[in-house]
Amino acid sequence: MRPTDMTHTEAVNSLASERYLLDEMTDPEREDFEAHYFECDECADDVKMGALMQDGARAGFAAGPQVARIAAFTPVQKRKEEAIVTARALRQVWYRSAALPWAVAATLAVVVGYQTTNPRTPATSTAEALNAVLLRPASRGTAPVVSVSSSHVALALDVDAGRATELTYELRDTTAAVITSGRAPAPAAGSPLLLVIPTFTLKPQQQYILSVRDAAQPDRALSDYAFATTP
Amino acid sequence: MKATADFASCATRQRGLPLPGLSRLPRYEFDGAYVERLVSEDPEIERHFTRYFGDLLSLKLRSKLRSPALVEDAKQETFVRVLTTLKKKRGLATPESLGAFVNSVANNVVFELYRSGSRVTALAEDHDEADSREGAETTLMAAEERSRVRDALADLPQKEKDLLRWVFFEGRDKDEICRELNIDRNYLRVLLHRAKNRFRDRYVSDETH
Repeated sequence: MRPTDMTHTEAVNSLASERYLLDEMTDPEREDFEAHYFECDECADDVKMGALMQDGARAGFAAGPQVARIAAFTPVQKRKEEAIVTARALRQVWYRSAALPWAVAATLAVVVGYQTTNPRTPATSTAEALNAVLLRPASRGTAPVVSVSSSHVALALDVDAGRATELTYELRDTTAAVITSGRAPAPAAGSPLLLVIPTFTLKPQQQYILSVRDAAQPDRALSDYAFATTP
Repeated sequence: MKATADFASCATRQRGLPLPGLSRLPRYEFDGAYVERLVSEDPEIERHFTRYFGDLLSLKLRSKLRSPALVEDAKQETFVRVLTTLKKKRGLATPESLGAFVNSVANNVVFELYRSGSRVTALAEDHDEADSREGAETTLMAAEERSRVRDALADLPQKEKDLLRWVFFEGRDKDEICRELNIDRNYLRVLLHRAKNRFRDRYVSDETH
């Protein structure tokens, strides 16, 4: 156990908590600051609060009422999960990546261009490699299991939208509480929809139902999709 | 790496939201009395210890380990080693350095994980799997927490919400954001600092109502 080299004043004056959050510290600085906040109540609270805000923003809570991102996609390739950790790979952290490191028990990899509600952001054309769990309507077999070990899960919905041009979706848990909901353009015939959900909003070992409706006729349920979560 | 079921179940277990609830913990001084109560397995102190340091370890470890499962393993291993050492030595020579001790044990655990190439030691055959199901209370807390975080973020000025979204949700390049806002990196930190303070105010005020 080594004494911390960083004083509280230094931490505050150098905006250490913010630099930590933004991942702007060198390894020695990071170690120093960690040693400091393990001993300093005030900085510990500051870092915790910053991380809570960060996690909320990462889950889409700063993006408006629609938490999830949804888009039509075409499967392009398969991807194997990697489980090996190296010291450097460990720094490419699962919780920070913008190209989300899907670790769901997925079989599909997709490239999706997603749209945000803010046209100012150049990220509207960003391509992301995603893995998705394919969900079929609830009546066609057992509920797939989705891992919530990553920061997000991607669900590919086999939707028969018919003539609908816009869909609404609603995710509920077994208590019927709405976890998230939103709207999305109907995919072309034969194409599934991809729903990206922050695992922040899900619990392990729970069952969920995702209902998709025709936005123009809210009474017209298109399909329900059941899935279970695992840690 | 093996964590005993006792400590695993004692620690706050929460998936999805990496940081367990920040609802105010009772404040304790890390002094001789605290360590003594910890060593004598006082449930209240054990609960405080695992929640307080569980949060800090989650923060520290998530930047170093690849998956939440590894973080959880490393966290539990840290708790086990700290508590085993404290019991063996009947406390700490300098109880006020408990935080530093926990941090250094966590560093060792991470180092060993690196060195072993992340291969987590197989669990013993008689390993008693910790129950990872969340209790109703924890689930309720997590739901409330999410709601409070969502509300606190929703209350921020649009400019701050944009900033948080760009940086954390969209993962945009920070230099690009600075160019767009015509600010330097240090001022970006200041803006983040202000957003965090405002978030804290909203979050805490929500807690008190």
